[in-house]
Amino acid sequence: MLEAQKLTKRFQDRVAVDSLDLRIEPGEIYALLGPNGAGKTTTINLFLGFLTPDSGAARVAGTSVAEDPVAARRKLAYIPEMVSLYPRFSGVENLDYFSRLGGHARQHTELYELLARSGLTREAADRRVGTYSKGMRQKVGIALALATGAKALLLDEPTSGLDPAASHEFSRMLRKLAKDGVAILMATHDLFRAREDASRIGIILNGRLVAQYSRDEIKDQDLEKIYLERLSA
Amino acid sequence: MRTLGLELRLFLVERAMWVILALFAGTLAYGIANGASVGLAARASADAAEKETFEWNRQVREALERQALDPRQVAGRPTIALLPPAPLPALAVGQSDLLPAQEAISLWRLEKPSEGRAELENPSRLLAGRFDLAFVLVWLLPLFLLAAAYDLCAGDRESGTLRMVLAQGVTPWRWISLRALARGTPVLILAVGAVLAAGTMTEERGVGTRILLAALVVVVYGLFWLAVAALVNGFARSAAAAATAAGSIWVLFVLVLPTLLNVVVESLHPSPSRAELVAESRAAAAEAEKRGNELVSSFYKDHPELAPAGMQADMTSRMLAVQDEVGRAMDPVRERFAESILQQQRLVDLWRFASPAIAAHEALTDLAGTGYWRHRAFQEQVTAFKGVVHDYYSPKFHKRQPLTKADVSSFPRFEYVEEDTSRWKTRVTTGLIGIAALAALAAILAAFRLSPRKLAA
Repeated sequence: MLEAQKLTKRFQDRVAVDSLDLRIEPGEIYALLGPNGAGKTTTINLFLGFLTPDSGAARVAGTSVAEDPVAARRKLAYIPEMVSLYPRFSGVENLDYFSRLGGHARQHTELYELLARSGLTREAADRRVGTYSKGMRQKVGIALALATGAKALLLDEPTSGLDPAASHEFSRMLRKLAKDGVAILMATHDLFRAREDASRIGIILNGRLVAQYSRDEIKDQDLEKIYLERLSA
Repeated sequence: MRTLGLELRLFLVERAMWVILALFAGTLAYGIANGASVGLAARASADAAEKETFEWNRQVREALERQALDPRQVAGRPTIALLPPAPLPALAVGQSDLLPAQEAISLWRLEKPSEGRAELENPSRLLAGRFDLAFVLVWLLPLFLLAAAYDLCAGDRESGTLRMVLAQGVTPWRWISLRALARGTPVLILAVGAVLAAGTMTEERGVGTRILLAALVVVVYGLFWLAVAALVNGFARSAAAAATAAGSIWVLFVLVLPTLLNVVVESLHPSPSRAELVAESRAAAAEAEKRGNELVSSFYKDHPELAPAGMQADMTSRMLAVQDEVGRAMDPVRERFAESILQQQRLVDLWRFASPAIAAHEALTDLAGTGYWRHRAFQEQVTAFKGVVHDYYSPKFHKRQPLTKADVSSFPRFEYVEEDTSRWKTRVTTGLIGIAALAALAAILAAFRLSPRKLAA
């Protein structure tokens, strides 16, 4: 579970995140929509403990990020827009390396299995990451979330730049993770994927969460229209 | 352990690192070869001196078996005071190529200043010092370590991998120290291997402690530079900035601070001029020569028991009286000379912790047996031995007492007494603790700086 209570972050005079109240339950995919500079990435950085909030609190599966950032980070996985891996290592070596850093050592056979579940063949897993496409890197990121047994997943523009097939494949894996009980927060501009995948959608503007919709609420509505109306309101 | 292995693999997967390691191995081998050649030359010189002394003693003994000899025939021949070859010559040439390791002592030359090098030396080499193993370990090891570890996380920050790493819930300090260890280990293994190899190039026994301490000095000194690399990575926002900062710190600690210390030491205790010493010695000799007859009469007045019948001094007695006078005149000059050098060294000992490079170099030369203190002890013992030679032969000259077979066993013989092991151990251990403290300080500063918030910012 991911939880933000009156979470606030200021950069000098500018309020990047303003009293954000958010609760993402296990199995839920929450899409956070907003224009550039609205506070999406700052929210993710606050959950990661890379930023200190000015007030309020962020929790990951009950662990306060401010009080125990290392324990909180061990409960979550993070997939940025471009999953940065070591290009000279193969996919399986990267997975081995990153999962061990968080204290989640696994046997090689398991690592290959996790990569396979994420959609990477054995041949691809043994290839140097330097030769990988963006979609393949995202798959390693998903495998890492599986390897660490993350309770929560933070995604920052995960489908940006992915071709439709790769984007669809990625969504399929996200839904699978959610089904396994992972709470997912996805900051995105991709309205189509948000509508397809998210169980809830929030719109953030100037750091404030200005609207939230459940999947059912927007089922028959035009999300793009709603979003643009909110931006111009 | 597996993470360390992966870090090591991540490091060695870069071909440039193999080039760096090969280059370092090459410089180490060259340094050892240079030091060993100086050590071999010192050993050959010592063997020749010992052989010559043995041969001379045999000849004297055989001559005395046949008949009594005039002391002039024996005392005129120099006795060689020999500083035994250093215990670990291949480790550091130190002062051994500047200060004499043997001195020819004869009754007629007691007041001659000690000679430096007998052969000509390339002046630039004298200025820069030898390219020995200690040079490689103190000056170049940090460069190779920094080349291997300057980019502990700055490059990851640029590429974005740093955020991925930090998101895994590893503490930055743990991750970076693991990475520093992985990158420093191959370089340090080569360095320690070189120390062990240098340790095998000696004929001395019981040098195990010296080798162990030298290896420890190298490891702790290396850890200091790895901590510096970690500290630099706490600040640098790019690999290029980290490399520049690491290089600047190397210049500061290895070049600037030692030079600055040298300037301070020279200013506070200026190096005495050897030319001045020789000039003063000649002036004293000329003055004493003028007063030769007066001096010998005065000597016999003070030592009537040594006066020959009729108080008629021969040339030898006059020469000795003149030499004694030169000694009296020169004693304060020599003391001033020695005191100045001693003060310089004391100041260096005190301020060596300003830079771990100075402390490491002092420790390595001390362990090699080529440092200042061993040479100073030799000089002190040579000075004392000159007194022994004087006191033994001088009365025999004045009394014109021939040497007999019975005197053979009491001939003055020089035997260098090594300083108590606890003294050099104390000096080296203090240096080691100082370097470790500096390494710990750098590590603490790095740990303070390496917080996820500061790194991910």
